[in-house]
Amino acid sequence: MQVERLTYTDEQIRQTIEKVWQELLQEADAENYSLEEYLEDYRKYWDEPDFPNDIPELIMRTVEKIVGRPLSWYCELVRDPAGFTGEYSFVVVDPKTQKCLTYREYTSDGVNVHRFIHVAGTVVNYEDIVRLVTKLLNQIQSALADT
Amino acid sequence: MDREKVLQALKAAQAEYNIEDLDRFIKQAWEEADIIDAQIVAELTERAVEILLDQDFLWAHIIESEDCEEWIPDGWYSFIAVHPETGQCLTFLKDPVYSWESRISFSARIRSADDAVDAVTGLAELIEQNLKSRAVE
Repeated sequence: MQVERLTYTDEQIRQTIEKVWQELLQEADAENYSLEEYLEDYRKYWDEPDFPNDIPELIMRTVEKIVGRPLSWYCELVRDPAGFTGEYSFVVVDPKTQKCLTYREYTSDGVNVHRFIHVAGTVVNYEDIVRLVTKLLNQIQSALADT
Repeated sequence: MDREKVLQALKAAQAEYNIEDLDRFIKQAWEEADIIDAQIVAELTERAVEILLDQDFLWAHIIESEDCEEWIPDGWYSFIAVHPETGQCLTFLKDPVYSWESRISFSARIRSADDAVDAVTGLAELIEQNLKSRAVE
C-alpha cells in the first residue's frame, strides 16, 4: 500500500483554519464575524445550549483539507459535573481502510501497554486550535505511515 | 444473535458490576438522569458484548444528553469499538455512496433491560460483521 506523506507547516495550518472559518461563515450566512470575535463569545457562552459550537467542525475540516480527503470522525465535548470542561476528544477513522487513525499505544516500564483511541485537547483560544490541529495531524501521519 | 446467549452475557456482566436488578438499575439511571449510573450502563453494555464475543475491545462511549447545559442523560448512548491489535474501527458502518458519510459509532437507546438486550445484540452483530469482512479481505 502506498503510504501517504503529509506535509504541513504552522503557517499552512493557520491559513487553512482561516479559510475554513470563512467557509463556515458563508454556510451560516454570517459574514463579518471574525474568528477572534467568535472565540471571545465562545469563552463567555460555551456551555450555553443555544451557543453554536463550531470548534469541532473547524478543527476537523482544517485537518481534512491538509490531509487532502474527507475522514470519518466523532468528537466528544468532555464534561464533568460542573459542565463542559473545554476539552474535545476526537476519534478519527480512515473511511478507506476503516482504520482508527487516532489509535495510540504507549508502554510504561517496558511492560504496561496503554492504548487510546482518541486524541484530546482543551480549546480556549486560537493557539489551542492550532495546537490541537497539529496534534491530530501528527497522529494521523504516524497512523498512515503504519498502514 | 441468539437472545439466550445475549441474556447470559448481560447476566455475567451484571454480576461483575454487582448489580442485583438490571432492569431497575437501568430504568433508575434514565429516570433519575444519573450520570454515574449512566456511565455504568455504558460500561456494562460494552462488557456484555466482550463476554458474548469472547474478545476484548477498546471502547469509547458517549452518554447523550437532552440538555447540554445541565448534561441530563436522555437514555441514548453512542459506542465506538476498536480492535486492540489492528486498530480497526469495529463499529464502522460504511455509507454505500459517500464513504466519508460513514458512521463510526453505534447508537442505542438503553432505558430498560430489554433495551440493553437490543443494544448488546446490535453492537455484537455490527462488530462481528466488521471482523468477518476484515478477515475476508
